[in-house]
Amino acid sequence: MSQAKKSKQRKEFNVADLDRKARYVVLFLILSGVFWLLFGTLLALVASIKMHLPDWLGSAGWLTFGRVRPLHLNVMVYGWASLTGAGVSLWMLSRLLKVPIPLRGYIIVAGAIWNIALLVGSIQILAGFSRGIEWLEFPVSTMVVIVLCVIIMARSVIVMVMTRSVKQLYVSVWYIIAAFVWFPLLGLVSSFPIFDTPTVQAGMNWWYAHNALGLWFTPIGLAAAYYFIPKVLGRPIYSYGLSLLGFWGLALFYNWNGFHHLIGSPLPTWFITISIAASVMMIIPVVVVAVNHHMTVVGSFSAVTYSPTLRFVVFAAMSYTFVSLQGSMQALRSVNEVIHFTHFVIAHAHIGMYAFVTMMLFGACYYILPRITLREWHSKKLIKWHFWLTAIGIIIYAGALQGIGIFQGFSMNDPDVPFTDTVTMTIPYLIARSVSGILMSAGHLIFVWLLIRMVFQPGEQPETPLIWEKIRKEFAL
Amino acid sequence: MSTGAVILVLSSLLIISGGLALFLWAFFNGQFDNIRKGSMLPFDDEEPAGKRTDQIFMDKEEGEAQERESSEKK
Repeated sequence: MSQAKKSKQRKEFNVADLDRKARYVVLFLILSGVFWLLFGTLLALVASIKMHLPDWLGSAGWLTFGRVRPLHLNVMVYGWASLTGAGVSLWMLSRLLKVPIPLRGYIIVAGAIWNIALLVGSIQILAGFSRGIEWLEFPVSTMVVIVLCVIIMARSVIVMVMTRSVKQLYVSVWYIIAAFVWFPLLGLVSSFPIFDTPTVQAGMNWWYAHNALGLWFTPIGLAAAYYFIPKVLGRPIYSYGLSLLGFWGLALFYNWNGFHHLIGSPLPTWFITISIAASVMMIIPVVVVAVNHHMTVVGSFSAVTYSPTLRFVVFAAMSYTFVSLQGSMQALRSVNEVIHFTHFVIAHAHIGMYAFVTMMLFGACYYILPRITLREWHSKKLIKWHFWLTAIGIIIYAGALQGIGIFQGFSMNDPDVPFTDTVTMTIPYLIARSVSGILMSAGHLIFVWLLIRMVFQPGEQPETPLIWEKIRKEFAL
Repeated sequence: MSTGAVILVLSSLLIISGGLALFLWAFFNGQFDNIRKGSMLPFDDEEPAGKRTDQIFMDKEEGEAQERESSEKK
């Protein structure tokens, strides 16, 4: 039986039905993610301050930089971004395929187990039982549990695709399917106990870490951009053909990119050279995505002023273009020999994970949560504060660290400059990093407060639900 | 090459070949037959194209003025 006939036989769901069925599972995943965002933010502040005040909180072993910093990274990656990203993805799929999220009970149980695994993994890292591999510091047991939970969610994704009420798949659906297939593969391969020599382990490390960003978070982020930009503007994407080209470009070129982190290492030269070539090839899908997003928004830029979602999403989409093109340049040997081992790379990673992924997830939350809770955001002013604090925070962060990173790199390559000078010259910029961290943290606290007011409704409720009125008008509820 | 390196290379090839297989499935399944229709997939009768959403920072008066303006244009 053809897909079209099957679709006709299936029950048609309206938007309100889909959102009602998605409510608890999506809310659970987003709230879990936001809990880890708060915890990760606290760890980030501690780690950042320790960079210029190394003795601060130095007496307790579990609060040393070597434990706090890796935990910050892992909590943000597998807690905040992954859990929230999964919730956002499932909601978008339900809307785009016009079917309710299946296996909702299983997903909530999987989410709960995922949270427990994060908690256990966090205790283990703080106790000093880290794997010592960047992005993979959680013990293998935690990683395997997380992968199994993603597989359960991937099953839900596949069921939605198989039982969909539409024939053609939108580009966001392609990205989400790919993300839920790629991440379990990455997680399982990286957990095999076969990467036993330092060189091969380093290769696996950067194959995994770079692909976790590019094949898990990037597809989710771009899926959100391709969904929310047209939805908010009420205007279809500029070129659907280009969007598909961008997706298939990512699928074909990205996964070999990570080895450019190992330029100058004992890894075979052909590994590195293929990685550099693949990194440069990524310019094609990145430019395609950038042109497509820009041409969709152009002429309607005023909408950014009025929509919290669009503010965050457009900022994130611009950051994606910036960080990706920067990544392609960083992969070149001549550039890499300057910036490697400097703060430039740290800032680059934060532009990817924060300015792109996190801002995109904030934007998605502002759109999704009123629709699944049927409640309004309590303060427009606080949403604006959230945006500006986080946007200015990450801009200061990236500007300070990338600026000094270049000078640090040139100084490290200069045999006449003592190594200690290359460290002390960064201190004012590390203080700027902490200041930017305070700004971003304040933004996160505002977001959490808005979320608590919306979901748990403490205190007095506003008498005039202005925002709710807007939503009601949009959907004629 | 060590087992680990071989596994990394094979996994990378698996990702690429999986992508190619998906592309072939999409092509023969007719996913690229109507590119123009594809861009309209986020919209439907309940949430049609041409209607902005999420404009929550807009004042009530400003929104009503814009609505009047657009209906006059139509």
